Amino acid sequence: MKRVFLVIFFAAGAAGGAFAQQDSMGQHGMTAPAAGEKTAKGTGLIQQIDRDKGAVTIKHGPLPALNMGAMTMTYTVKDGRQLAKLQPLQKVEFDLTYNGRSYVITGIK
Amino acid sequence: MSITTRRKFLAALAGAGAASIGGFLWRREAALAASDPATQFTNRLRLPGVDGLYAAIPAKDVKQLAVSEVTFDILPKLPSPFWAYVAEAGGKRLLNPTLLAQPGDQIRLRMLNGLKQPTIIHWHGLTNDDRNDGTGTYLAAPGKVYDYAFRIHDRAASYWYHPHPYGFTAEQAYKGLAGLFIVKDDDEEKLARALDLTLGVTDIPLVIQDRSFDFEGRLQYQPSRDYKFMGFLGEEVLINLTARPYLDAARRIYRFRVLNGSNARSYRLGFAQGSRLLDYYLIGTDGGLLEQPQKVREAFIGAAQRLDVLLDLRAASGNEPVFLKSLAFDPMHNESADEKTGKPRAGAADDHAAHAAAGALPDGAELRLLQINVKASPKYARQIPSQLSRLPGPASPTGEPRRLTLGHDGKGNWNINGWRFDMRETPVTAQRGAREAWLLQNSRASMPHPMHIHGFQFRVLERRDSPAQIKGLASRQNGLLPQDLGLLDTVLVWPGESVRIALDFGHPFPGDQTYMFHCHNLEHEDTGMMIGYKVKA
Repeated sequence: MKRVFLVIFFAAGAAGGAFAQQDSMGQHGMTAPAAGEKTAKGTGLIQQIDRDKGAVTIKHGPLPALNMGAMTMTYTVKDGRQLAKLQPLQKVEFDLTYNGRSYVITGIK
Repeated sequence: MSITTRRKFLAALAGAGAASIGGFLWRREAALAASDPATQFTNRLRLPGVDGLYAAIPAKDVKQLAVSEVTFDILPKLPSPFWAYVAEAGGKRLLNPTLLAQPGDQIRLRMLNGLKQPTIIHWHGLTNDDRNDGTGTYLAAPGKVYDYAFRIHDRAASYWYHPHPYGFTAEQAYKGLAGLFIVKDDDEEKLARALDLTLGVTDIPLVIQDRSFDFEGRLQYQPSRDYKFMGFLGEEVLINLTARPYLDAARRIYRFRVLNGSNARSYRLGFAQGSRLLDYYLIGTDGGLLEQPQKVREAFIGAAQRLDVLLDLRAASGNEPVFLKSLAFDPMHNESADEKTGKPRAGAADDHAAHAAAGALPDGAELRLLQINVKASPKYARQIPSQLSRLPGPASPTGEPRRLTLGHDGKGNWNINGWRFDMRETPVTAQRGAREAWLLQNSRASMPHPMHIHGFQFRVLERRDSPAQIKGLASRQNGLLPQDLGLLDTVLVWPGESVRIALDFGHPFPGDQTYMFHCHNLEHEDTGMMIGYKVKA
């Protein structure tokens, strides 16, 4: 029970920045360069692919470089063409970049 | 924390989370509904073959089943720890083999326990004495063996086998231990000839199980206290251990032997092409063929139950795929309801929300289970026979029914008549040869319970106070559902519902025999919603 609560609280806390991502980035994952960009390498299991929106939902492990725990999240992919060869329930490695306002996958395979 | 308080907390939390998360965290229900299914069902359905998973083999040819911890790619190219019944035959290694038998066959096999915990195999649905039934009163410790020797006394049906060690069953079944035990007889052969059916090709077992995986694709089972109260709900529904499966099919009749092998989840099964539901035919239940096929468009299946169905794909139009779905339904998590009125108590949260928050597929959500691609095929002109088999009539019980009430104590413990499982006790005793009616009464403050009786198949005589979604499917007098026309070993009892069943305690075994009666929501079973009962010689 405690674990469920912690996951929910953590996700709620982390969500603000990522939700802003969807507002500011539209479908193309284009953002203005920002100082202090951080990138984390992650491993995860694809849950869903939305090729129209260039987005992917990943159940991933902890991303300590971004101070994120394990969770299931939807992220925009900077180069949507990288989604072409991916399948649901495929294990992937990805780079997730946070620019102070938004999160975007800058590489995935 | 009491159940009510915990639920209030969960409800408040879920509401707060939803507000601030606002669409960032993936909502599986909405995402599945919105996604293009054609891009999601990319794995060919696993079928019983000559070796490997579910390979079919005569049960009398199996001399040993090794209960083993192995590695298996449930998800493509992602090895996962997996527990399996492993048989060796003809130089081949079989995992969870599909065991085949005929009435009268003598089965002799040794179970070798390679786990680090006790186990025992229960031959679910078969008539056995208590030494061979696998009730859990006899166990094999780690590294030890257990020898089975029994005769097949039962009619043709899709039975199955799975672990039954009290306190360990849910985990062991979840991690992979389950297989089909198919008994065939003359009626079966006649049907197979009439429709040109071949096991594994056009006569297809569908074992439905919901599971969760970690971020590296490994099977994951970490039940919280809430999950133990509600029953485990997974994040993916697998069929034959295939995630998001498809089947290429011809335009002809298929037989699907559906086993709900999930720990806890129920399904409302329908076949859909686009928004159109196709008719299909229920031809059998836990205990084998019905007398006549029953045309249906949907049927509920609770954990451990089997439905044997025919689908005529000549009724599918064009090339649009047909989906086996679980249609949306009310999962009736009414655990916090007022027992007198059946209505929700003020401030009580819906447990459904708790499950959704934990990432599982919501209970009762519409789910696509299997994509069936209908391919061009040779002409097929067979028709479903109007008569399938002959069933013995229900036993005529004498005396008042034995009442068994399903409920919980408000502290997170399910029970039967207030009893919780104690291996040393058998609070119910029946006389060998007696014919009894049992009245299974589910409380209003409850959830659906799939109730399983070891040792004997039974018939449903009557359903009372069924919820609207069940009443709407009742096709006969006494509120009976189409599947109530068959022999059952497990019956799903909904909150507030009473199901009267007929049992004939005649069997060929000398001496007193002890069996189990329990909820087959495996987390409920493991936490005490089970009683022993004795059949006195």
